[in-house]
Order: sequence, then structure tokens, then C-alpha cells
Amino acid sequence: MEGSVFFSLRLSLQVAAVATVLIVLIGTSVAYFLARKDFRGKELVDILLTLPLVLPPTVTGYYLIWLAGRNGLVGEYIFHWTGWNILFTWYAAVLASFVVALPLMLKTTRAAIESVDPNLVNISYTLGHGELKTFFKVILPLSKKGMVAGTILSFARAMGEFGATLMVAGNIPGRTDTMPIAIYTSVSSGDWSKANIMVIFFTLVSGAFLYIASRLSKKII
Amino acid sequence: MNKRALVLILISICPLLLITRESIGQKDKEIIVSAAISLTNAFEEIGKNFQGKHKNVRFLGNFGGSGALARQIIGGAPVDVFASASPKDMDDLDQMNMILKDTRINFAGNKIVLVVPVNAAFQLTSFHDLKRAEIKRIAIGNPKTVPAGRYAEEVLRHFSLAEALKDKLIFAENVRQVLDYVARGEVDAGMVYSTDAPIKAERVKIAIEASEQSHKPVVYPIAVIKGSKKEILGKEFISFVVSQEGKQIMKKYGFKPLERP
Amino acid sequence: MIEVDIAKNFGNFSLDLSLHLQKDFTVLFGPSGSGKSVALQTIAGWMQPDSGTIRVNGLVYFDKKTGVNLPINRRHIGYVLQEPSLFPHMTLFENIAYGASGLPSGERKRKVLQIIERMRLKGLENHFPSQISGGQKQRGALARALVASPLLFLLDEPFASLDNPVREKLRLDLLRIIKEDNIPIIFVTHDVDEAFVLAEEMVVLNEGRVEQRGSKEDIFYRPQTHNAAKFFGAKNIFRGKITEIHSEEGKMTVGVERKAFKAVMPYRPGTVVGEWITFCIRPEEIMILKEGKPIKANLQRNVFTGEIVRIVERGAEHTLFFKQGEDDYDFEISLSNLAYRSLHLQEGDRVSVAFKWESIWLIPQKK
Repeated sequence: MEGSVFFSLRLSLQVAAVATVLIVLIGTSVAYFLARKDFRGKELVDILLTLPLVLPPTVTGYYLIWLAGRNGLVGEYIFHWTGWNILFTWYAAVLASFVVALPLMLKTTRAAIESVDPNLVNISYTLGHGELKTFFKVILPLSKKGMVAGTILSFARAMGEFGATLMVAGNIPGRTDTMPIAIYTSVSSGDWSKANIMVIFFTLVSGAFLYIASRLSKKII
Repeated sequence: MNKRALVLILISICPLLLITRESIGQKDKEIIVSAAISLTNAFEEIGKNFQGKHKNVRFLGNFGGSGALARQIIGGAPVDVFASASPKDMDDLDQMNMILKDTRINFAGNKIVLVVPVNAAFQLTSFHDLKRAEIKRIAIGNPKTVPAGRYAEEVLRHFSLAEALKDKLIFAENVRQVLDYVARGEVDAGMVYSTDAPIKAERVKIAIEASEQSHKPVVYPIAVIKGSKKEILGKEFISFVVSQEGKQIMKKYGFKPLERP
Repeated sequence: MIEVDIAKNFGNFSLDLSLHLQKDFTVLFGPSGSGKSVALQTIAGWMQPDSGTIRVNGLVYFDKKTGVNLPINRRHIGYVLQEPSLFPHMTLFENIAYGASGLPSGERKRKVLQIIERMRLKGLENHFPSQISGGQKQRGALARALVASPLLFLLDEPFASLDNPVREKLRLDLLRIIKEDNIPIIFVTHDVDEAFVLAEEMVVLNEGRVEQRGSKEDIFYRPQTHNAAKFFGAKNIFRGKITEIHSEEGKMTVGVERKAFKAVMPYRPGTVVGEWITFCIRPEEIMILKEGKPIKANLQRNVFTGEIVRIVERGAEHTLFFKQGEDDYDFEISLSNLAYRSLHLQEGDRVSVAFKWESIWLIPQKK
């Protein structure tokens, strides 16, 4: 059951990438509603979704187990109908990363959308365009900066997620040991040479990512 | 405005003052014992009784996976006594010259069992049953750091099941976490010590007891950590653990008694 | 035909509008905070009234009772704001084309280029809004609104932030366009001159209510309320009690409140002695009598002697403050520079002033 350094690195990138895609899609939609619509319980929704930002990852992990475990609120039914459970799979790692990084995307994107001049949005409607078209042609281009920042932050947070991931995905070498978890295991068991390699790799990859991200974002913006 | 800022600063410093007072006050009268997590219940009672016999002494139990505890000590944690669930972790410390060799003693033994959720639908009579398709997840301690995990691997290898069950294994950080996974039904079966199962008697039941030949004997060593500022108190603690009273308590929790090696 | 009958409460301000407009160019006039912009926003659907109905050419845009609230994008309205509202991330061409996206691309391009020509924007198609002037931006906004073929055009002080010569040019552009395209317009402004130049019909708004409505002459010379008079520069507004009535001669005398003089004016049928009325005289209707010249017959009824206490030069005309009683001044008189120069007046001079009694306008009392 030996998990290799490259597996952990690849897994971390994979988990973070998938989580970030979900965060961008879901986060942007939710941020749009929070920014532009009014409904009962709006601020409650905002608080609930932002909680993982202020709660320790272990508390978030606790709630995820309570929700998605085999006897969890939602997990129970899924296990009953499909015999499948998300815990101890890499999907759980994606879930943990998604939940803890989503607030970052939400906050930045909501602020960006709210700062779009409402007159411009109304003018788009007045010119005959519907909400969806207005979103893609007016709101999105004018919120790009905030959204790009949110995406970068989310990916970074997803890459570094550890506490909640450990609790829901477990530490299964070759299956769910993302790099932060693998490093933790190596350090816990005194395997400093392995830990050293991984830490250097992870730092280089993260640094490279930040560099690429900042170049890309300058181009987009 | 200045007055308000001053008040705020004073308020935020207060918690720091509390910490300092606390640590200064109690330092001389505490004994910190790092012990394998399977010893939690037994040592908590032993610790309480120890406190009763020694006025003004406070027992602080630090429980976790033996490997993690050993790392802490190597990393400089201010531990006075260490009790692990296998000789290996004590040997690691011994090799690094971190224990008082003449205080080292084996004080208890244990058995390895396979537990399942109490309302499990399936019946397991031998370890080979674990190959069945309905058994999707089996939890054991992480062999790298948890003695119970190493013993579990030995058992599986003894029955030539290690390869077959490789993909079903879920590693936990300590043996109580294995117990918890089974208790919560997150896994279909788990391997823990026989002393752990009763802790969650309402949620787990023992399915199989691993024969003593299937794994290295489970031996718990205990020793005083070199450099501890309370060597005498540490030695007294170990004496208490191996005393009649201590042995009674260990027996109460299901541990096998051992004679001095 | 635009019918707006709505009410909306804003906490410390409430709107209660009843507008029925038929002319092609209606000016909505009023001071800041009178609700002009809100009125436009409710017609366009940017804001929902609390109650009432809005109908445009028979089509119901809003009806609180039946729950009808046509979404903004189905109202076919052109809207130009005071602040430039071109999309900053699109070129001028893209901005204007945005209004015409229902069309196939070939026809759209043609239509857009056509309107760019009409609005004198040729050559700027690929510029971004940040690269063109305020006047060009507003012309762009007009073009974009026009290209969507609106049924109604709403303009909220569109030229307010532009320089005067640009404003005048744009006003002419606007008039030309509506003549060519025949689209009804509601134009909001708080500039009296602009209102005068553009309006066919004027509606005066104040504190969320319609103060008066009519042709520009109606409002200018025959303000129906004190406020309407004030807004349009009828400076000399007085309150007085009727002291004598000679109906056979068609005249009545009014003792002006807190002032030492009496004014003689045409008898208004239905009034009685002792009744309080309000009247006004426009500053440019008061004449300064030249010394030595005989006073014309129709001026003799209202002649007052007093002192010029202050003279203010206002560029194209002079304002003189005339005092004959205890107050700081009694009349504000406006003279063209030409007239002023020929009179050789100075502060402190004693003069006689007079005005035709037809210049006196009685402001109807609110019942």
C-alpha cells in the first residue's frame, strides 16, 4: 500500500482542479443570486455558506461526516439506494475542498457583481435583453477581476486543504492521500526524507501555479 | 478615542496574563503521561487513584497513536512517562537515548479482535470471510504509525489475505478511530484490541478473535523519559501501574497481565 | 398615448402621479427631488409603484390590481440617462449594435452604421467610451436606444453634464431625430431654457405631484400655483386682500400683504371683497419710466415711486431691485442690457416703475 509522491501530487492537483471547476460554476451562480436578488432568508444563506471560512476545518469535517457519512443525513439515503458512500474516496476530498474554498469565491464574486453599475444592467434590460444574456454580456465582463481573484484563491485553498479532507477522505495511501496528508503521514512516522521531497515539490508547484495565474489574470483583465 | 483604544488593548492582553499564572502555579505538581490510546480508560482511572495517593499531584494523560506520541517526544514534548502499545515505539525512543533504560518495563498484554457494527447483516466466522463482496470497507490503524495497525497487518498476512483485501483497507490514525468507524457504520469491519470493543458495546460486537499465533504478541512497555523534571514522580507512577492496585485496574478493563520480562 | 396613474411611498417622500400624455414631445419639469427620475423609472419598469396603472398606447405595462408587471425587456422603451451609460467594455459600434441584436447580422450592421451616420459619430466606431467626449457618449447612448426601435423615448436630463454649445447642438439633433422617426418623447429637465426650447407640452412636478400641465406659454405666463410660478422665474409673487371691486369697470383693487402699496388688476369674476388672493408679475414685465416722458394710459393704474437699491449684472440682462416700502426690496425688475444702458441708472437712484395690469397674473387658490 505504498503511495508514491507523484500520486499524491497528481491527486492534489486533480482534487483541486475538480473542486475549483465546481466552485466557479456553483459559486458564480450563487453569488449572482445573492448580489442581485432579494428573498427571505438571504442573509442566512450567505452566513451558512460562509461559515466554513471561519470554522476550523475539523469542525467543517465534522459537519460533512454528519451529512455524508453512511449514517449521515444525506449519506444514509444514498447508501441505502446505491450501496455507495462518498467517505474514503477522492470525491470526498473534492467535497471537503469545495466546501472550504467556496466562501472565498462567493465573497469576491458577490462583491464584484454588486459593484457593477445597476444602471448598466437596467439599460441592458431596457434594450430588450433577458437576464441570462445580460449576465453574460454585461455583468460577467464587468466582474471579471473579482471572479479571477476568487478562482485563484479557491484553487489555492483547495490545494492546501487538510483537516476536513483527512476526516472525510481518510488517509489511504494510493487512493486518498493528497499531498498535505501524505506530508503529515511522513512527518508523523518520522520519514523526513520523503517529507522533504514532497514539501519541495509542493512548494515549487504552488509557486509555479501562482505565477501562471497572475500572468493569465493580467491577460484576462 | 485614545481612552477607548487603551481599554481595548488591556482587555485583549488579559487572556495572556491568565495563561502565565496557570502554568507557573501548577508546574511542579504535574505528571504528564503519554500513553497509547487503547490505555485511555484504564490509565484515566489509574491516574485518578494516583492523584488520590499523592497530595497536590495532578495527572495529565496524553493519549494517541503510539507512533504519533513517540514523534512528539522526539520533537521535545515535555512528557514524563511514555507507555506504548508495542515495543517498537519504545525501541525507537530507546535508540535515540531518550528513556531511562532501567525504568523500562512491560506491564500489560492484549488481544486482537475483528469487530463489526452491532446490527451488521452478515455473519463472519473466519478472517477469510472478509473477502466476501458485501464487505466493502475494513478499517485498521495506519501501520506506519499505529501498533494496532501493524498487528492487524500481521494477522492478515498470516492468513494470506493482505493482497486480496488491499483495496478494502481504510487506515485510521489510531485504534479508537478504527473503533469509531465501525461504531458509526462507516466501515463494514475493523480490527481493534479486545479491550477496545467494550468501550462501544452498544454499537459494535466482536466477530472473531485473532489467534495468538497470527501476530506478534501485543506487549505494552512503559518507561520514564530522560530529561523529565519529575523522574522520581515518574518512577512512582510506574510502580503504581505494576502494583497490585494497578494490576487490578488493568484487569478490570480487560488487559492481560504480564510478568517482568 | 401614455397614461400613468401611480403612487409610491419612499419613507420621507411619496409620489402620486397622474399623467396622461398625448403630444409627441412632453417635458417633465421640476426641481431636484420632485420625483421626475422616479417617474421615468416606473414607466421603464426599473422601479415598481406601490399601486396604480401604467399604459402605453393601450398596452398595460403595469397594473397593481391585476398583478400585471411587464418585465423591463418587453417594454420597448428607449432610455437615456444623465450619466453616460455606454458599456465601458464594448466599442461604440458594439454598444450601439447591442440594441439591435434581434436582427440578422447583415441587417444589424447596416442599421448601426446608418444611425452612426445620423448621429454624426462616423469614424468613432471602434473607440471605447473612455476614448470619446461627453457629447459623443450621449449621442452614442441616443443611437443605441434608437436602434432598438422603441415605442417611447425617455430622456432623463441627458445633456445636463455637457457644455452649453454642445447641449444646444444635441437638442437640435434630438429634435431632428424625433421628427424623422416619429417617436413620442418624455424629456426630463430642471433647466427652464431647455424646457422652453424643446417642449410641445410641459408637465411641472413638485414633491411627487403634478403641479401644472399645459403648453409652455400656459405655464410661463399663467402659472396655476405658487410653486409653478416660482420654478419658472415669476419672481414678484404677492399675497393680498381684495379691498374694492368695481365690476362694471372690470377692475378690482388689492391691498398687498405687508406692503405699503395697492395693485389694480382685472376683476376676476367670482371673487369678493375681503378675499385673499395671490398674484405675480414677471420681472421683465415691469417698466422703468423715463423721467419727463408722459405715462401711457394703460400703464397709469399701477405706478410706484421708489429707489433702486441694488443692481445685479447677469450677463445678458440686468436685474434691478426696487424698493418703495419698509422691506429690503419690493420688486425684482429685469432689463435687457440695451434697455439698461439707455436708462443710465445707478444704485440709489429714485425712479418710477409701472406695469400693465394685463401682466398681473392671478394664481388660482388651491381649494
